[in-house]
Amino acid sequence: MRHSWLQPFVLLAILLVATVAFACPDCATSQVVKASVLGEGFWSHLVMLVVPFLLIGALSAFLYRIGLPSRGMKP
Amino acid sequence: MASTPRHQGAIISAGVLLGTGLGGFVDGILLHQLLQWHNMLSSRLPPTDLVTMKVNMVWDGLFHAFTWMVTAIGVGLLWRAGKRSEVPWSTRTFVGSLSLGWGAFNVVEGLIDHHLLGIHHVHPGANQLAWDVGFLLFGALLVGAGGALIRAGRKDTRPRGGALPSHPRERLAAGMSPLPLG
Repeated sequence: MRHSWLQPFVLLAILLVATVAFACPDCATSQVVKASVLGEGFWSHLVMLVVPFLLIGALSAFLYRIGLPSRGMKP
Repeated sequence: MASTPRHQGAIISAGVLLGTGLGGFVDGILLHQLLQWHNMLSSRLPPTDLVTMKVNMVWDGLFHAFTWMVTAIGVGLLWRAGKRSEVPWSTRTFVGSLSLGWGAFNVVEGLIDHHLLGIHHVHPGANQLAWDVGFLLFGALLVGAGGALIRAGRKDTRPRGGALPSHPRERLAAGMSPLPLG
């Protein structure tokens, strides 16, 4: 088939729309959840979530530059 | 070839990020989703009804999003390291870095989120401290094993796609068996 590559994208788009519709973004429960997530404490929770990743990123950058300290071996 | 320039750090940094990502997915899939433990805000907002469960689910989703980003960056760094001839393509170094990354993330996350801030615990309930300490010990074990493997991998100098050493002495120096197997 000439345009067979298009079919997976069309299917994906349909599934995406269907998923969003079923997720009910405007129903009462979702509005309460949204308000709770984005309300008070959002930024502090986000910082708490991100800090471990930032520390691991810093460790990764440090190990890129320095490597592990040698233990009785010449680097 | 002992005189070959070595840059072990490139593969270590990629491995640490990939280990963090893969370990984070084990955490997210096994603990958060399958066992329904370790939800992100479960100490502040215990998931006891639909709304609180969904709020925790959103924060778990954000955790997965950051885990995915770390994994993607790790794949990028590994891809770049594989194209550099001065980077030794060592299984021990890579597996050790994966273990180090997974363990370090568990230790950092455990210390900050479980013990310092107390926003959640591994398995909330009567024995939560035991579970939290076990999580930390598992992380420390992974860090120790990873560090040992990385140190052992310092003997590996062969770049990606490079020929295997044929002389028994070179093979031994590279941490391989003295005679080719198979």
